[in-house]
Amino acid sequence: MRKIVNTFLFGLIVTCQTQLVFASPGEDGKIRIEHVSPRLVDEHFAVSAEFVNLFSDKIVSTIRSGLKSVIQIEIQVRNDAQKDVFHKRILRTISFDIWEQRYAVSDADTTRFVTEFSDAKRLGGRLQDKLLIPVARLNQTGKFFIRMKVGINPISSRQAARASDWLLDPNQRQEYVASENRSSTFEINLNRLVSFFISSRKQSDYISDWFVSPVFRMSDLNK
Amino acid sequence: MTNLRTPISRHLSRRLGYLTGLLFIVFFLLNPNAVRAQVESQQRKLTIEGIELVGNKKTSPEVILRDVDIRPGTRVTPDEFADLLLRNRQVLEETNFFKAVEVFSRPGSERGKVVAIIEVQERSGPFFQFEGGYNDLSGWFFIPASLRFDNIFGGGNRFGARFLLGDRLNKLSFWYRNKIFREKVILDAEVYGAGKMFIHYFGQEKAHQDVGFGGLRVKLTGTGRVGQHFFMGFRAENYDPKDTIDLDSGGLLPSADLPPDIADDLQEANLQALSFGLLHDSRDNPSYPLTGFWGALTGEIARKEVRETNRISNFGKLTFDARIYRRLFGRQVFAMHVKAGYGTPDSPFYERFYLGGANSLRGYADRRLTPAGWGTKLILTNTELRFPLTNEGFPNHKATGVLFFDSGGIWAPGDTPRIKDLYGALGLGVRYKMPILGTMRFDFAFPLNDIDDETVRFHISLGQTF
Repeated sequence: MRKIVNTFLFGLIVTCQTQLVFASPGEDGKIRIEHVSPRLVDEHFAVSAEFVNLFSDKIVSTIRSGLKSVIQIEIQVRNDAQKDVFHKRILRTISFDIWEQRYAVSDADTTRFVTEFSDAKRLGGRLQDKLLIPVARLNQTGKFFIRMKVGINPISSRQAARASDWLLDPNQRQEYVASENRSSTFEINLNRLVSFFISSRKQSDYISDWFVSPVFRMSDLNK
Repeated sequence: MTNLRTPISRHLSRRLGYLTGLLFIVFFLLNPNAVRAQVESQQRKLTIEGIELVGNKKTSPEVILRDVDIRPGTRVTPDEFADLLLRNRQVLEETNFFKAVEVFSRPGSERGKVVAIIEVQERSGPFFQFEGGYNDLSGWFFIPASLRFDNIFGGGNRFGARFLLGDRLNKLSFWYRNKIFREKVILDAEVYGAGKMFIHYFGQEKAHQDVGFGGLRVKLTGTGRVGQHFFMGFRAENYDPKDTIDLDSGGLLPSADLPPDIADDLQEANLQALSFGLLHDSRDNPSYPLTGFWGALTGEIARKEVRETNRISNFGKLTFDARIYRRLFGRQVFAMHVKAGYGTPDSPFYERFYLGGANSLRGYADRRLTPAGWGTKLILTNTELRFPLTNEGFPNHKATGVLFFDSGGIWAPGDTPRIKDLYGALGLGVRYKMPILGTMRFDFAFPLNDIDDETVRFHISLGQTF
């Protein structure tokens, strides 16, 4: 009995180590943020940016079949002490009306309609002088930098699924018979738990890495 | 009176009907967009043209599609289609057959048609789980090494091995699970070897006895609308109880001093049992039911053969277990559990019923109310009023409060069940959802019978009581 148990535990350790060695993220077709430029517009601090590789073939095909995709943009403005002075989350929806044959790109307060996907891609895949915060609320001599991240949910939130997929059924296990031996259990999938921590820097194919801008002063910005 | 009321009510209902119709006409005249939207929403549905599977090199399409409820030809709105895709992604993820599941879509062969795309990433090897929990008979247990080979050959098979270390149980088991007979039956099989510690009470004296056992268990559960209500099982096991009992106060209780119900079952024996049962589940949410019913009736006939003497005896057991849930005003839930069991007097003590504990009758220690030699007749009721303590995400909220009343009785062979033999307890508790562990349960139970001079007992466990 002890021999069987020892062999079993040895197999477990060897396989776990193998999983650790071979778990490595890939970088093909990764979503990137480029050409981030902070400006002053109408007494506001504003930012422009372009998102590259946001629309994979799968996402384009899903949009063209009539389903909505949601783009989520996270923008943080931090001071040189690494503290957030401003944080904004922008949700943008892209959909295609297969009967009217037109695309709709919707932000919180505006919806723009276009007939070509290239136009929808251009509208959805960039920020153009997005007003963030009145300049008066920022220290004029202070140093700041921008952190930005963008993700696209092909159908719905994938981040939530990713955070929970290493947990299997954390609730009471279903009872199938009138059992004499009632139990409540939990299960943790070790492989998914390991890969969750190992690949936490990678996030997902649908989310970019954090873009961090060089440090700037308000007085340095173009109007 | 009825004759007078009928014409008046008819008149009023006719008037009410006209008024409602008029209001609708006015509403639609004032809101032409609403009419348009109404018509458009009825017309603008997508027709699912088909399903495309991507990435399944070893897994047959049947194994994937047996769990999927996307039906070609169905007409759905874009939102319904998105929900359908996401729901099926979750179902496929929960099979554990794949490392990752993605769902997409593409336009179909003509306008208004759409094709669902399911992309899977297959597992290339086994995976490991860490498990743990609480069990009435075994106490707290952990499974530090659970190895699983789900869908390793692509046929939708699940098999694995697990090594369990517990408070009162150690067990090594190998198990197999698959759907057979054209997906109409779920087969569960387990081969195992284990050692379990049984707790006995002789009056105020607590004692424990080790019982080694092992064997094979097979269970067949139906699927489909009718089949899901039936199950049957078979087990062939070997039991080897230790012939002495250790008293918690120190010393041994030799077999000569044991009650006959235990002394008769101290020899190594082989046991074969056939079980059958009926099952019904209409709960709206198994982890936190707001309404519905869960009930099972299980019967078992068994044959026991003592290895040394070849003496054969037969015994049987019938167990009824039912839970009912009703949502009261607002978010409160009334929940009730009833369990009744009967075993024939020839059943060995390790096959009999127990009473007392966190999942049984709260307010008393695990199995504290069980007679020496264990019981062959059992009745247990748990009644709870559940109310959320936090509102966010209800009914998947974080914290729940509970007021409960438990009552039950247990009788040894030859004893006649009487009302005055019933035990009871009142209490209150909190259930709190924790990451990884799931729902933690904390109960303060006040026993209504004076057994151990205790005024309150604290139980900690996992999940809802029932």
